[in-house]
Amino acid sequence: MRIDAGMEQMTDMFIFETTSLLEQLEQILMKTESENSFGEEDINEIFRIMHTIKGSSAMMGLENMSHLAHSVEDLFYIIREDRNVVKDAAKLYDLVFTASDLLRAEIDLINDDAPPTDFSEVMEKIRAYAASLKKGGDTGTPAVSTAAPAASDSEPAPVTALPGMTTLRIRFEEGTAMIGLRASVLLNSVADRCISITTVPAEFDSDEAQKQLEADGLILSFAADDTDMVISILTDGTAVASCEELGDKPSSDKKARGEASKELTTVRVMFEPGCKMENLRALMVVNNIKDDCKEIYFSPENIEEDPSSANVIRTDGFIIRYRSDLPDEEILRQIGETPSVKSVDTITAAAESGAKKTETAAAGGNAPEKKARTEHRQSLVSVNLAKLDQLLNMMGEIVIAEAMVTSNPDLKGLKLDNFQKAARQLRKLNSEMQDIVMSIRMVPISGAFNKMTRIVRDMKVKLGKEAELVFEGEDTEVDKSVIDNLNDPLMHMVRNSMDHGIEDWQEERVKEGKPPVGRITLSASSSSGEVVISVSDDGKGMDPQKILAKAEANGILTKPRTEYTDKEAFGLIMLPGFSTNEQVTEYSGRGVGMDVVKQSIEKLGGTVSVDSKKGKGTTFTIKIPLSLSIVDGMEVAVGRSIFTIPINYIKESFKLREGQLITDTEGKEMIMIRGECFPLIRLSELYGLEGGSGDLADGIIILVEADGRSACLFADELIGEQQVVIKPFSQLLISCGVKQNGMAGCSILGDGSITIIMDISSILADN
Amino acid sequence: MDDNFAAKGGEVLTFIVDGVLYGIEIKYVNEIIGVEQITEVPKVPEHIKGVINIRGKIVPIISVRKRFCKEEIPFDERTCIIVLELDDNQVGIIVDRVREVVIARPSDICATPSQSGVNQSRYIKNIIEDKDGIKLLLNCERLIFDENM
Repeated sequence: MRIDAGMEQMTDMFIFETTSLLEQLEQILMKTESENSFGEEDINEIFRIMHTIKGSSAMMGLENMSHLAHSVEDLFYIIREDRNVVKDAAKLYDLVFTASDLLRAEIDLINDDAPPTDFSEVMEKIRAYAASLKKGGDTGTPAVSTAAPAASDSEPAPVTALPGMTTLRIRFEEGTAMIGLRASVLLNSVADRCISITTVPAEFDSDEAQKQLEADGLILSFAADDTDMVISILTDGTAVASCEELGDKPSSDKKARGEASKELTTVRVMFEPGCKMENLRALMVVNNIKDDCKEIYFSPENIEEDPSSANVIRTDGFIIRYRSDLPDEEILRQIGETPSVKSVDTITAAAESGAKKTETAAAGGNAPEKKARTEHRQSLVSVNLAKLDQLLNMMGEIVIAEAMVTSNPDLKGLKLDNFQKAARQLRKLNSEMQDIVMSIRMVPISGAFNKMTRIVRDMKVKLGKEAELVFEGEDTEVDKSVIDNLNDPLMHMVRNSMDHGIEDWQEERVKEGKPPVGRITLSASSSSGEVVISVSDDGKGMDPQKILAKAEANGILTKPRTEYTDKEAFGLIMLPGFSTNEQVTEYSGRGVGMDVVKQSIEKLGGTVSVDSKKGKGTTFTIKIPLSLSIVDGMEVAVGRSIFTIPINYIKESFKLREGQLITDTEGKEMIMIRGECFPLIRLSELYGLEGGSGDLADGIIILVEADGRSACLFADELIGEQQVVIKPFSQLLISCGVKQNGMAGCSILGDGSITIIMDISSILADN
Repeated sequence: MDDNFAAKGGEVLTFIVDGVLYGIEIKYVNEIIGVEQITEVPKVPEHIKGVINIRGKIVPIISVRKRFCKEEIPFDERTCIIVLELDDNQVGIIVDRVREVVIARPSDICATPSQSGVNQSRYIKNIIEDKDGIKLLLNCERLIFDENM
């Protein structure tokens, strides 16, 4: 897809923003759909999202996206006018979901050279739907043509010259590209010097506006303290060809009103200090009084889109000029009643000396809630993930470098009190920094879960099944890179549960004594360095015999069928080329899916297991290391090799005392500690290593515990405690099965040598 | 990619293992280093000697001798590790000595006879024959990832 040169560096930002807006949109839609009602907030939010997408994609030169967003915006413009017009809500959701999907797909294509997708079919549907809404619900509100650009309601009606205002016609150089953008840049450049500005056309995004700009130029009326200054700024603007003064009235003002009997009233509105988001509060003021005013202008003008206008309002106040049939007192009262308004002053048109002053007590209302939300938003920064990765790697290198310095072999045998003190300080700071670096990367898993809501919704419609999706522990925090890789596996598992798990007919469920509506539970929890995520359904479950039969038919069994345990049989469904569904549906049954799940989870260093009870349901459990790429480890020597045991697994370490060792009839060794018996695992045997002492009395015993299991490990020597950075095994070693043999990864020690980090939980599970 | 090399030729790094001259396409070669301390990894196939630390990266090492079921000899000063990179995976191979980089012209490249012995040719992609003699061009992917010996 074509992106205008010069816009390329904006592309990333655009993609990021638009994607998150679309995500927000979906969440609102899912919420409102399940509650089956549109709140005013929701509609405004959708409207705002579409408006922003429209604007930004037009800026990027992606006209098709802009137009599609526009049509949705129009649709919600109508709905916003009268919420009751929506009769066929299902269709509305379908249309908006489709539009959102299309926009998303188009974003994916942005970096390809594919031609822009044609959205006209969908847009036609949206327009038709909008038209049907209007027919059904038009109750005398001013008709808004859906094909025409929707005027955002913050924009005043017709532009007319005001007394004391200067009106200019600005023409741009011929052939200027992106004339709309230029016009808005120009406008912004003088906005803070003017008390009020109005323009023709009122907005610059649409095609019509652009044409008008090309033909008639930009007509700009403003009132400013230093008129000459503003004119000179405008004349010097980029691509401005000419800038002429038009006298009192702009030429385009053909509908000059005869009823200009009543003068415009100008008021200055001040907000409570520290109330934040003055621009939106100003918008609320305008919305409050606009119905009672024949004309209304305000400054700064771009309050809806431009958060920086809040600063202007904070210092200079918000200027409103209006003409109304109602007495001024009534309007002032209305303004004063808006939350957070501190004072309203009437300004005489000529000078700005305050005359009447109406102090008003601010009505609290929902103001505090809104404030909290804004502050939350403002304190967030979006950062490129690659930079975080770099930071993490760097952190790892620093930990290694620290070890290189503090346990430098040259220091051996020296008594260095001050050095040790400084080294301790360094270690403390480093470990604090590590915690921060880690926490930066942690995000709640709810984002990944929420995406599943949409999948369940779509499948419910397509498959005609009823199911609800339940979350548990969705605020569990997981490393960002893990989350990104979780989406696909989760999606496959949820689809699998929906398609194969939940019964096709509700009667089947009722017969089994289950509630008619199926339930899929997504749960997450973290325990000792692992995140456990499970997807379970209460559907029909799997039959191990059926799976085995199928696997046998597909020729993927590696041992006689009778030797398979149920658990192993369930594991078969994650092998490539296995699918129990006879028919290929849109969602699953192509024989891919579950093996993809397994692969992508293994890539993350995790494991997947399946458990199922016939008639009760199926549970997929994923265990993934909590990104903890730096661990505190205890180094032990076994023969010539050095292994690292993560310290959080170690209960104690001790020398064997006489009488502690028990050998059973099969020659299995056990160790008795305080009346409890633990199996003994000799590491040299476990790993098949030569060398080292076979005598238990010479070495050291380490009691470890994981997942409720405990055992004693026997190593030759305890070397010491050190922080190590987990480096994953290369693909070659993983394919050789190192993970199955109790090794989690390796790490580089301070002296450059390599240590292997033991996977205690898998060792204990296997023994 | 096979066909591409056979058709276009290209640069080949040659090395000797057990007296036989082998070649490997230069695009796979990252660097050549001397043998350093290799850390054993337990419970892996015999031809994987362990891992080494190359500037903070942990790279597994394969013994080509062991891979070709030849007897291993003690490392000497000519023993080298050729560090290869395949699909973002770095792997080192231990060879007796590295010879040189030669340019293989398409006319010098012949395919391996299809029914030749099962054992060796699975790792041989092409045979290069020029004025210096015969070089066996190794198939990197198989050399490194093929599991069944």
